[in-house]
Formats: sequence, C-alpha cells, structure tokens
Amino acid sequence: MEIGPTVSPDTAPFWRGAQQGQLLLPFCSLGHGPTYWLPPVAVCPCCGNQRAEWRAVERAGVLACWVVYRREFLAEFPAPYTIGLVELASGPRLTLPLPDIAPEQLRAGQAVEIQFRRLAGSQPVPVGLIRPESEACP
Amino acid sequence: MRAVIAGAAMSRLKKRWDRGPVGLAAPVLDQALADARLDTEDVDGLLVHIGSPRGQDYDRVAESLGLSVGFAAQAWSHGRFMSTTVVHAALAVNAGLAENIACIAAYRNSAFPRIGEPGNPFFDEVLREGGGPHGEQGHVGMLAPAGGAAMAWRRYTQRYPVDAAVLVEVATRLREAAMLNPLAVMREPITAREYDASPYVVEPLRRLDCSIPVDGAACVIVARQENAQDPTRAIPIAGIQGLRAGREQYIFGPSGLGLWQQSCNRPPLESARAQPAYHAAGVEVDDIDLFYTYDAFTPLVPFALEEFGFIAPGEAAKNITDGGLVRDGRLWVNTNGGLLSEGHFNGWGHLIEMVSQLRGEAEKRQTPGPEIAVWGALAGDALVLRAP
Repeated sequence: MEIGPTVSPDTAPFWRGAQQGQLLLPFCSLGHGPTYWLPPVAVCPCCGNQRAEWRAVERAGVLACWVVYRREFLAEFPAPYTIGLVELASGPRLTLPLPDIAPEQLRAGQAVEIQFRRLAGSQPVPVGLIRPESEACP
Repeated sequence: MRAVIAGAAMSRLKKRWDRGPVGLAAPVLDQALADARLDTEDVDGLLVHIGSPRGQDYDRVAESLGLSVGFAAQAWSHGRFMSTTVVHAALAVNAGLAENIACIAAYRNSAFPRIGEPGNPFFDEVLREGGGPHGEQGHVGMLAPAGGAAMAWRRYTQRYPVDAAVLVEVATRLREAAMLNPLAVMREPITAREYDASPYVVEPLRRLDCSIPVDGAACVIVARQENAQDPTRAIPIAGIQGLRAGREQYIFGPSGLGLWQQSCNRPPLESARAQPAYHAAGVEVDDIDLFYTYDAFTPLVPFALEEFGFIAPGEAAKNITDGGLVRDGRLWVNTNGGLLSEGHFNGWGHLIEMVSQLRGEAEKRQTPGPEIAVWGALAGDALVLRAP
C-alpha cells in the first residue's frame, strides 16, 4: 500500500522541496516580523497574506518531545518506532520520525538534522536525525 | 436560554451489538419520547451526530423512524460534536425553529477495523492534508489518536512536576464508577499491578490509558422549557459554548501547552474560570457540583480540570493524586465511568449521566443533591445543566 502525504496545490511546494532534499517553508514579513509557519500553505496566519513566498530554510531544529509507537497500526510502519516534535530553527514545529536512535538516548533539547527519506511511499518525507552524543541545548 | 432536556435514554454500551444503526436508534427514541411524555408526531426537529457508515445519516434515520421534521442537521462524525449537537438543538429551540428536537447518536464501531487501521472509516483522515483531526501525520507513521494524546502527556510532564501515579488514579477511579453503572462495558476492577502490566500503545500511554470502542445508542429530546410535560424532570440548558479553533487549539491538550503550533502560554487560572458558558449560566467554578469531560485518554482529565478553571495550570496531576477526583467520599468527575470505562460513546453517556444525576436517578452513583453539572472538553466546548 502506498502511504504518502495528501497533496493538493495548497501544500505542493513543500513536497516538491522535499523531493529536492530541501526544507521549503512558506514565509511572510508584511507588517510583522519574518515569519515561517506550518502546516505549509501559502496563506500567512499572522496577516492573511495569500501570496507567501516559499524559502529553503536551514534543515535544523531542536527536539521538543517524542512518543514511541509500540503497537502496529499499519504494516508499513512496524513497531516500535519513535515520532518526535521538533522546533525548527526557523520557528514552526514539525512532527516527524526519529529513526536510527534508541528512544532511551533521546533528551529534550537535542540538535536535530532534517533529512528526507522515502518511508511508505514514493514521496520523500521529513525525518529527524540526532547524534546521541550531541549536547542538549541550554 | 429557555431550552431544556425533556427526555433522555441510552442503550447499554457493548463491544458489539448485533443490530444496525436503525435497530439501535429506534428503542432509544421511543424511550426518550416516553421519558419526555411525547409522541413521535411531536418531534419536529432531528439532529444526528454520527452518520454513515458507523451510524446512519439523518435523512435515512428520519425515513426509517417515521419522523417528519422541519429542522434537521448532522454533525461531523468525530466525538467532539456531541455538545455541538446539543448546542445546535438549544439554539434552534430558542430561535423558534422547532419545539421538540430529537438528538440521536446510534452507531457501531465493531463493524470496522480499529481507528488508525486501514478500513476504519477515519483512515483517509489520518492522511488528511496538513495533518489529521487528532494530530495524525499518517505519512510518517503518526497514525492514531493515541499518538497525539501521548505527545501531549509527554510535553506536559516535561514542563510540570508530575507524580506518575496520576494516570492510574484516573483509570482506577473511572473504572470503579463504571462498575456501578449498568450501561457500562467495563465491569472488572483495575489493580495497580494490572495497570503497570498494561502494554504501551504509544508510549507513554498504555492500553489502560485508552478508552474502549463500543456500539450503542442514545437519544435526548431538547424542548422549550415552557412546553416540558414534566417540569420536575426537565433539565435546563443554562449555559453553552461552542468549539474553539485556531493554532492554539488541540483536542487532546490544553491551550498553550507548546504542542504542534501552540504557544507555550497557558491561560492563567482566572481566565480559565471565566468561561462564557459559566457566565451565561450565572455560575462560578465553585458552584459546579459535577464535571464531565471527553476522556478518550487518561491525561485528558487533568488537562480539562485545568482548562476549565478548577485547578491552576500544572497543578492538576498533584491535585488528583492527593484525592482531588473525590469530594466527600464521592467521585465528582465523569461519574458514569467516562469514555475510559463506560465506553467511548463520544460524550453521550456523560450527557445521559448528567441528566440522571441532576434528576436524582443515578442509583448507586448518585451524588448528594447536585444542582449544577458541567460538560467541558478540551475542544473548548461546554454545557452547563441545572437540576430541575
């Protein structure tokens, strides 16, 4: 079964960015400070600007919290696996898997690198990579 | 606000009923009408909560149950819309659009795979663009409501000092209540050992932190107060408020928790005490005898106690482990056993229980002389009901 994000023209730029390995977020600064947001749609939640730009941002963030799926819901996602909530350097928070690290090694504040991988479908999706020895941010 | 709940009825909740939605709805409509001393011909409004495929849609319900109404509507099939349905009925009655509105929830979960699995009616929503209705991000494996609730609990326990015993206290108290409730699906006590042995579904939440999918049916008749056939049993709907929506809102967490795109600014206690529904009903938090909330997962109980102004942000877990769910020896929250142990009936069981308690008809679960019962859920909605 192909399990991938639902994509309409609303979010298509984000997913095209993902295909290129880019974290492409909507951006606006009309009448307010520079602002990125998620979910990735072209309408600014601060001012209603319907013509947001899409900018490639640093693929970096900080781990806020996480959960571990210990029950399988879909064969394409065999348990156990970890889902994290990451605060991107650009501001918004992104929900994504944290592969390649045991949950016992996770700490709030760890540095996360965002990459894109194909998981259960052909569209690359964001994943968060953490080096266990990385310092938790002060 | 001149609307009342004039009649109420509910089936037993079961893990599986061998009836379809119409077969489930027909007897509870009859019983609710008898309770309200009305006939089918008196029903001039129909609001259906859970439609097809788990339930049946309002048009077929009316056709099948012999109703002919001038005011009909149906809510999105998610649990949060129980109170929306009652609010809608109260507003319609107040506006003179109908006099006796049947609000019906009649559905089966047993006919489908579990939520989060393919074949479940909500599976497409797990992959909804931007994210699912419970925080799901299906394309990365964040597949089920338990995932979002677990994330909220993790976030909360990082922020505030929490005695880990709070969740087992919630699960245990509600199970004890369910054992006194003939309609409830869970009838066995929970021990601390069983709770600790309960497997994680989405860690940090265990199976015993999660509510039980059920089949069942409920009907309430919302009517104009002056038309109530038996004023000694009519329950005034004294205050209402609708769902909240926006970047600060999440159905499984308090505002300002810092989950998803929320800020980290929890509203202070004094603003949580100033709910519009309380104001409309002319009540303060201290006047509230009984509180009912959408407890799909154990953490939602402490969250709701904070969100609705009973306890300051961050203090609910300690309050609960200090015995805060009990007043004068009686449980005062989700006295039906909640979604957690009566069964996940989207709040309809809570509503029926509120009516029973306020009428003094809650039998072994009866609390002494309650005057004010409040439904308040993390989706922002609330109902304030008064004793007759």
